[in-house]
Amino acid sequence: MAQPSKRKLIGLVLLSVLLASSAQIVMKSGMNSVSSSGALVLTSPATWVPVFTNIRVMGGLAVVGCAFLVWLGVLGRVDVSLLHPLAATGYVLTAIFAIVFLGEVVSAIRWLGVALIVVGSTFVARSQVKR
Amino acid sequence: MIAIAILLVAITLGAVGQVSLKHGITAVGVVGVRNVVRGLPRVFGNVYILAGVFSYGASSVLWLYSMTNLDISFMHPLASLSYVFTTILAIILLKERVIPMRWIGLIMIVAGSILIART
Repeated sequence: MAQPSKRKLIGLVLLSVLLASSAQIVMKSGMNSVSSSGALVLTSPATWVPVFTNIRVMGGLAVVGCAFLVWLGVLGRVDVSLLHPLAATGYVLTAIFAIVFLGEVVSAIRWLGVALIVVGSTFVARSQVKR
Repeated sequence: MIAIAILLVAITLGAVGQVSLKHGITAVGVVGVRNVVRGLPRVFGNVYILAGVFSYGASSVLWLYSMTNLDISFMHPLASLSYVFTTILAIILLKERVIPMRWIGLIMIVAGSILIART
């Protein structure tokens, strides 16, 4: 099998980032509906039944699982300290999705924090040591 | 405050899982999505990968719990703190090299996270 190029690997990572952002939104919407019908207690498994029977939470987890397999595939070839920062592009997506689909309010300060994180992550991504 | 503490534990466990997975997958030596799927028995027979998956599982439960208290636009960017934890663990355990530019980036991530935590 031909070795996939670095660009192809990065493309795979970005695809998994898009999937992961969408999955966070779907899971959060599921958790919003679960928690509106009763409080969750960490030490009480019974209160978790609605979580693990919620289609949105479980569907979101399944998508996260798929993204996880993609991670496993690229983990052996790229430094984790490069891989992780690429995921930062997903925070902008998540914030936009959260406003549009969940009605969350994102303040100017919060956007500033997100922007700092994305720029910082770009620095980190560009600091990959050439081998 | 306790909600943010639980979120931080979730993020830390995620970082520990990530480094454990990286160590395991390197030891197993399979690369590429196709090979991982084909080599699943070998992949999940590795103790570091199992520990990584367990750590990820615990992290996921705490992440879901945090969702009942916090905005996702608050939580998701804070997950970037795991880059800082991961880098430190990668230096210590995986002997990866980190150049100053990466530290500058990590400091920006921490600053951004502090800003968000105050919202």
